[in-house]
Amino acid sequence: MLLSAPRPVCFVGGKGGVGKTTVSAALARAHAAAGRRTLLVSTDPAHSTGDVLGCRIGPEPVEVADHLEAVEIDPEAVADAYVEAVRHDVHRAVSPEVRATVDRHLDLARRGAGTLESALLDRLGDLLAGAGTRWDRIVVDTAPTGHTLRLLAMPELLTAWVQGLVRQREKAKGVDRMLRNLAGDETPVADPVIDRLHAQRLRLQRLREVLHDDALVHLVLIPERLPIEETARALDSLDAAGLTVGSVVVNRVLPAEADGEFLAQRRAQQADYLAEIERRFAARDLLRVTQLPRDVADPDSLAEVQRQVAALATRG
Amino acid sequence: MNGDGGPAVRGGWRDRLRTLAGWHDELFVAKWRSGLQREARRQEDDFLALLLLSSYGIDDPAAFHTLPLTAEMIESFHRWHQREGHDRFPAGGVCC
Repeated sequence: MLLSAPRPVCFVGGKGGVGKTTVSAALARAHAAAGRRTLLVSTDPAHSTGDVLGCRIGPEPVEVADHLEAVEIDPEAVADAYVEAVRHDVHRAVSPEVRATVDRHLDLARRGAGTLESALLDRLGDLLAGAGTRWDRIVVDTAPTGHTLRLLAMPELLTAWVQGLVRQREKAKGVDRMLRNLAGDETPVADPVIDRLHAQRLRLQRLREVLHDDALVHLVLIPERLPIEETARALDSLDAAGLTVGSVVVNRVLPAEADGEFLAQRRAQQADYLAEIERRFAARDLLRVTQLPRDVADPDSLAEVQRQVAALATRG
Repeated sequence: MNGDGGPAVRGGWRDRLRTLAGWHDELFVAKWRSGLQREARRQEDDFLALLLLSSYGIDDPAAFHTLPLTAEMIESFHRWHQREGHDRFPAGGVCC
């Protein structure tokens, strides 16, 4: 599928172990090699982007090559900093007697289900806000499929949720205002709660818009049964969520010259799966990446994968 | 006497009007006002309940994003649990 305007953000998703990190790194390098200011973001908690690139990267973007920066999001650190900022605010607002209990509440919230996911989303939103300005392209290497689909759907859900809170708050304040009017008090009253909610909703809404309007999702799979089924489900979910699928990258395709009886049998089985992939994902843009004789842990083999995925960089 | 009579009559009318307004207020406005006050409390309680879902073990996808409201909401939470008859809030470590 050729898109009229290239989208500045792309996510690389797929089942665990299919080569998302390698494809992401190669794609980011291809963008950078074409002279685009590129950011490679790793959101997978098992960060291995640094290993693929052969350098150390951290929670802030660092330059790893010409036109190429990389960053590994650390949700634990993001959540810590966030909760500490809230704690600072609350301590100024409440009496000393309540502080201990408020601290307990914040500690519970810090460990709460979903906190790390939200922290990741928050940080990702900050980075994606730089798409089109600080960076021409942002490539996001994601955690395995399920997490990613949820992460991509969250801004939409949260925008609606926070909008619901805004409405409830406005209802409460509306009755308050009637009461004050009844007492002859017509002066408008500022509500910091509404202001904060509006600000939060705006942030989430912007992130939702970036995901829907400025981002593509490439799915990586290998020619095997389980990844094919997972990819089919992921494609349905992405379509249902209104997100745009870029390409389906079929990774680790055995090259024709791979010899020996064992590899010939594997190749025959791969041929069946490849035919199935061609048939089931016929409506999608497919890209094959051949398996290399050695794993992609050195600059030469990464350069080879980069050459093979360069087509993705020109499409999106 | 005469000099005081005029204003006394006018004052009487004013008093009577004021009394009438008082009755009207008591009969209609006060009822309406207390109804509004109840409604305002109910709406604020609903808002609080939505913010504190996770304290009750209910999944709240926005818990992280509404956490910064803690500073502003802690006071109304305190009013709520006192009004509900708890001197100290019994669960969740949210308040006192």
